[in-house]
Amino acid sequence: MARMKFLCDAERCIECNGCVTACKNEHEVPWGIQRRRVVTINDGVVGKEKSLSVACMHCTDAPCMAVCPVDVFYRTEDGVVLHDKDACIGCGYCFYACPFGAPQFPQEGAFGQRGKMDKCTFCAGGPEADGSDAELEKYGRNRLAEGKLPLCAEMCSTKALLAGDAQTVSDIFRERVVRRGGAGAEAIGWNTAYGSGEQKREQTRGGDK
Amino acid sequence: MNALKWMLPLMAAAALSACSEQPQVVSYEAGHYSGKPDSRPWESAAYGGDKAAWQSDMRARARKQTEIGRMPE
Amino acid sequence: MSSRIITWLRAALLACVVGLAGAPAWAAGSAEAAVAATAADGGLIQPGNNAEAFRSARRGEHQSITFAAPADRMLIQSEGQTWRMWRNGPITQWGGWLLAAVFVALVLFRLIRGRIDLEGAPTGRLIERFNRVERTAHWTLAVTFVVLALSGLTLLFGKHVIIPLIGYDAFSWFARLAKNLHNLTGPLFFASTVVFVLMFARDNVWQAIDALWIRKAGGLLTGEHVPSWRFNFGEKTWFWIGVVILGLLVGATGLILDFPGNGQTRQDMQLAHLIHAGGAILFIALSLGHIYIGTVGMEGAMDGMKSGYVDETWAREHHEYWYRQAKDATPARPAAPPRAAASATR
Repeated sequence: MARMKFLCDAERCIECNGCVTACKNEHEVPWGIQRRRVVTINDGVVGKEKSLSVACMHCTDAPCMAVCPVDVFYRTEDGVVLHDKDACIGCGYCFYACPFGAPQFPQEGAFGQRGKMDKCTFCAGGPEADGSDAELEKYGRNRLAEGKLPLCAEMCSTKALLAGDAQTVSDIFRERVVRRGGAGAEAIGWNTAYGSGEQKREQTRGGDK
Repeated sequence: MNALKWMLPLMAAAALSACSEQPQVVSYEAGHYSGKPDSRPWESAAYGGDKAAWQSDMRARARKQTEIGRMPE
Repeated sequence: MSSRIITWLRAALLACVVGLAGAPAWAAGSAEAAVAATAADGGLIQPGNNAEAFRSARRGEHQSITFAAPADRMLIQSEGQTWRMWRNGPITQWGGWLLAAVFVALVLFRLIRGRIDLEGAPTGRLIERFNRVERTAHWTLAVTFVVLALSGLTLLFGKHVIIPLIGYDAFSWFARLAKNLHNLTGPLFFASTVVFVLMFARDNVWQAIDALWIRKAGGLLTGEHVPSWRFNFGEKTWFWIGVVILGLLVGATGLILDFPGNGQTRQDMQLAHLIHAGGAILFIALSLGHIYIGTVGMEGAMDGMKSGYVDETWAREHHEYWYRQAKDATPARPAAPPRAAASATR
């Protein structure tokens, strides 16, 4: 077990935003903060529309970590990028550097008053004692310490969003790709959610041109 | 004036010490970090430091994310 | 470091060679590739090759989001990496070297050349050089500048210089203070820069005698006194390049950063930050020279800004034309304020 990762399957994500809502609820995040978001590419273009759920990707060479002037970031042994809110000065540099828009700030006030940065923790809390009230209040629930995976992935209705050890996640994805196009287990996804009649035929036609 | 003479090189040396810095990528060593220490997930009350049990639980939990094998073919 | 420069040079060379030899072929090739990618949509011609899909994802076209997150409509914000490379690369490294080099140069100058002393004996007769309003404008600017420079340098270099010295928790407290001081003082600095520029621009325009100052390099090394009007060419350089260009640039970009949520995008703020940090480093480097010559570097230079009055000898030696003009305009004051007289004859 070495590396925790998220993986979002664009063939399955139906942009239900369930992961966004689940995350907000589980961690009781402050108003205005959205740790996870769903981006849709080619919205409304039949056959080309794809959605992806994005949050902190827990980078190996994390830009936020590289630019933080007070060094609040750390990576756990499982490759999760966490931060210490007590030391955060709210300068916003992580917000400039992050490619995925993960760092969020509760305020956007004059004189650069932003409050403490908040981001996805892979449901691993922060430096406070695991499961403590202080941790819940600052960073949200620590599901990893309870032997659970991030809620966004665990409750994903189409199992588009996968989380966990990289090896296991990629095994699941590989099995899925091998069977893709088949029936049965592969039924979950676009066609289940939106039907396969007219749309399916249009997709095929669009792909043929 | 005399104090100034030996203080200036000292200050210059102090100012120069910043220049040996390499690219500002934090060299993170697993488990080591200059900030507030964090306990690891398997050190929680639920696992009491049993890393192997935590890892096998996480793997089992991750495997639950696939529906293959759970549905009739 | 040197290996990286070599890599850059190699890449630049390669780019030149490819650009010269293969420009037409390359252009045709990329147009073809674009057409192919559109037709194939990254799948049919080259199955399994997702390169085009990733390229288009990074371009951020046709991406949208349902839940409100205006800054994060895009999947991947590639500009962040550019900002990081500049900020952690040239600005931190070259900037650090520049400041150190200027500091060392000033120390060497002091050791070799020594203090620039008055040649004649002070007369004790004083001439007014800066009135109260001018001094207030200068010191407001100076104090805000020093606060901003020190807090800004703390945020840029503190992680590497101060954390090892005072530890992580203490530095976080210190950095929060620095950040808030920086953000609150910034607008005042900008306002006082504008006032200062309006106040002193008239005496800083080019005058014929400045050519002599340039020809003799100000007499800084020879010790010769070059005549000038109220401000010599060195002071004018500091005024125009330092205060006017860099001061207003750094101040204006600072305002963009200091008041988020007024329509500026994250990319605007990244660009503003790079200009702000780069300009500020140059500004601080120049200011070191100004602060040196105004305090320990020259006898009597501080008096003009401290009390407002300078000794006639100082005026004659350093600003001869201005001295003659000022002497005719206002008769020298024999009965000087005691504090001013004390500092002038020290």
